[in-house]
Amino acid sequence: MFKKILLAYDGSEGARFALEKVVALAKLADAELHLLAVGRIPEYAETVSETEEAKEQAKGYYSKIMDDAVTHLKQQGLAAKIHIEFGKPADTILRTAEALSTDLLVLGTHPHSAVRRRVLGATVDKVIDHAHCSVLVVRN
Amino acid sequence: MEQLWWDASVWVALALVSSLLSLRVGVSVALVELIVGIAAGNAFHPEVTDWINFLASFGAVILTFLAGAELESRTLRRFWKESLVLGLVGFFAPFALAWFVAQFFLGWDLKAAQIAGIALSTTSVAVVYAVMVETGLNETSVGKLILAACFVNDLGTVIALGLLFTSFGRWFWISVVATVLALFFLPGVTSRYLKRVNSHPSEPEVKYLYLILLVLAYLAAKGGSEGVLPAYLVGMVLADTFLGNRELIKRMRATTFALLTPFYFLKAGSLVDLDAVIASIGTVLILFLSKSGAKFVGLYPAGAAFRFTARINLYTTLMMTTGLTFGTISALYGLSHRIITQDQYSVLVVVVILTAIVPTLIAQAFFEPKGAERDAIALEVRDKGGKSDV
Repeated sequence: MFKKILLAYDGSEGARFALEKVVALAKLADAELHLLAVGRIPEYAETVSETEEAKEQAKGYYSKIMDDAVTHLKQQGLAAKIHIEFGKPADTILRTAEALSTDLLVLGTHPHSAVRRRVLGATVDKVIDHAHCSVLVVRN
Repeated sequence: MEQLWWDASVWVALALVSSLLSLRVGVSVALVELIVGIAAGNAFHPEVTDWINFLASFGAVILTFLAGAELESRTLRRFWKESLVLGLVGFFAPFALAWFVAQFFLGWDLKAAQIAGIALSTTSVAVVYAVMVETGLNETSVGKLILAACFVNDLGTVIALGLLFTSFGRWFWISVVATVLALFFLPGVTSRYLKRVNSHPSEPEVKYLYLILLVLAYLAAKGGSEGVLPAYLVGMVLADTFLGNRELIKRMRATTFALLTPFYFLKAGSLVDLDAVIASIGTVLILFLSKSGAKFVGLYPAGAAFRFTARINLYTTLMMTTGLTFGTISALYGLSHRIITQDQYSVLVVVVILTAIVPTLIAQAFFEPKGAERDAIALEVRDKGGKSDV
């Protein structure tokens, strides 16, 4: 069974739904739980401070979301380690999963238009293609 | 009068569209503004008036100042040898090769070829930093060393731009003396001034810095030089002063990004003639390869001399091949001083945009240092100089 689970969590409806499924799974497997939020920083920035400010904003935004998630997990009798990283979502999720040596990576889904999915590519697709471990995509 | 409001509305609408697009695609607003400017310039030619020219020039000066103020002098002092070698090679190799190729291979005249050399000699501290943040490399010795080298590289670019086309007359020397005095006295005077005015809501700190930069830019322009040179140098000497005053930099950046730099990047983009670029696509490729090739030929052996591993060496080389702000500033300087034609300008700006995007994509995809490898370079640097990670 899975011993270390990483959930990519951004507080969205899809992510909250995935959190519920992870709660059940973590209890069943008695697994170590990690939550990861990925803050976007601008690519090809003008100044270093532009990147720093984007990091600060993302950190402030996701800290609150992660605190709420941890409170919810505590109510379920679970603990989780929190990670707030920065970069492109798929790359950062893959990198963090590898660094933590997780054996299950869990993602929620966002409804995307067909055009956006085709042009920008979906985070889920990339993570499934390149993950070093099993991936669970939770559909709402 | 109504024409002025209409022109302003058009430019601010383009700036707003750029911000929204930047938000959507996660790319820096500067690059989006350049691209939106190119689209607008080729679709409906928005009017470039005197006041737009002023806001754009002022934006370039403040942006350069902010870039200089981000210097980590402690890192530069610790890795002075490596960063100086990498920075100087990173500047001179592409400067010389792009100049040579433009003059003797593409047939540009001497001064136009020099502008090509300067515009393609650049790197981008901000682009490199953003890439490194994603991997956490900015916190390691190798990351800090690369960033310090990028500062030296860009310093070479602004010095070349500030000195190569000047006439060295009386006003030039007056501007040199004024700049040297400013660099000497500003750190102490500014510290005392900031304590005295103590973040008053009327923004006396921002106005004080604007005044200094405007006066030095005036003297530089009067002396036939370029205002970005004193701005970068002033930024560098005030970097330590601002280290403990990030809020002031944040306020300056807010003003600059909202009102000044959009005009600079949109204008720089709007002057690009896409027909000329398409007609000269071979020239674009040659200049792109000249810059990339020169950075590789110059930087790779230098990295090898410092015992960088192959992967880290290639990563460093690719990172230092990036460039955006100083490349466009140099090209726009050439165009506005009639040193290069609009066709040459269009080619240079497109090459600069390509150098911001392509090397970072390749570096991230294939050469990103991982785990023990990136720590190894920290150990090597420490072993050689007896210095710990910064």
